[in-house]
Amino acid sequence: MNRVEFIKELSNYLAYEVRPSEVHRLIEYYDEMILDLMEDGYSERAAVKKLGDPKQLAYEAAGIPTEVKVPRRFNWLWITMLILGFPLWGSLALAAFLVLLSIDIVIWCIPFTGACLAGGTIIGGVAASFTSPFVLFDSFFMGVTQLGAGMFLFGFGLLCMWLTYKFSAVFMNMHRNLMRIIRRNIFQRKVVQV
Amino acid sequence: MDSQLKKGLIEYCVLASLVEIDSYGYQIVKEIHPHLEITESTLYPILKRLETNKKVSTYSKVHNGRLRKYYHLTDLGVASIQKFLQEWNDVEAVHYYIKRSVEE
Repeated sequence: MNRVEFIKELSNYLAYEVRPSEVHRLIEYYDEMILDLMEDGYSERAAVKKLGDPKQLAYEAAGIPTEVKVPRRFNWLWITMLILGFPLWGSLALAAFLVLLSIDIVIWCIPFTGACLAGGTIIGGVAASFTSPFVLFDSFFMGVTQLGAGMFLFGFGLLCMWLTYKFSAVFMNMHRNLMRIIRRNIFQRKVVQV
Repeated sequence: MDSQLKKGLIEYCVLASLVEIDSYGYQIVKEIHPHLEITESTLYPILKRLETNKKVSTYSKVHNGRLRKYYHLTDLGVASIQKFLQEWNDVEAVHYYIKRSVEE
């Protein structure tokens, strides 16, 4: 692996685990290390090799316990029990999955509502404003009212869009945290290295 | 050396390596290595912690057309070394107690 590949791999593993500023910092640190090792006489490959496995480094930095392979002991009794117990644990697992899914949907509902509101009112506002001159021929009062209402809607839509945009980071973080909690608790076996 | 004991000592080794002259990551690893086994990845969290605790300050300097991050020992860092050395008396008392327990 050369320097660029190492940095690329490291940043890939870090991407969703630590804050962007921390990713930047770690990459600067390891890049400097590689260049300093190379200046000290190491070849590019040897320098990268000396630092270790980027996946391990990234997980160490993110505080994710590295998985230690524990041999799975599946014997026939276990498999029979799993099959027999499926009606019980299967439905419980499905229920848990649906609860988590609904939490995630609720999180996304809010920005989705914001975006829809923004889109609808902006389109409606623009349409109302541009068609108001035609109403003017009919009745002056109606035309002016439509123009005002259209412009109001347009402004309201812009405001919604801005708010949704501003708060989208919050929802993204909520979603990410939820996924992290699920991953940590269900899919990652906790192995503590002593 | 016991890994827990090593963990406690590394921080002070890093601070000690910065007393004479400001240094950068790789140089610190090289300087400490004869005394304590340390890798580039173990040094990172220590430097970060020292920086957050304001025991070291950092600045970047151009070296061979690239930026290199230098670490500078602050007054707080010096005070931290002094405190560690003072506390060592307590450690020696414990050491003596443990030693005596085996000798008897």
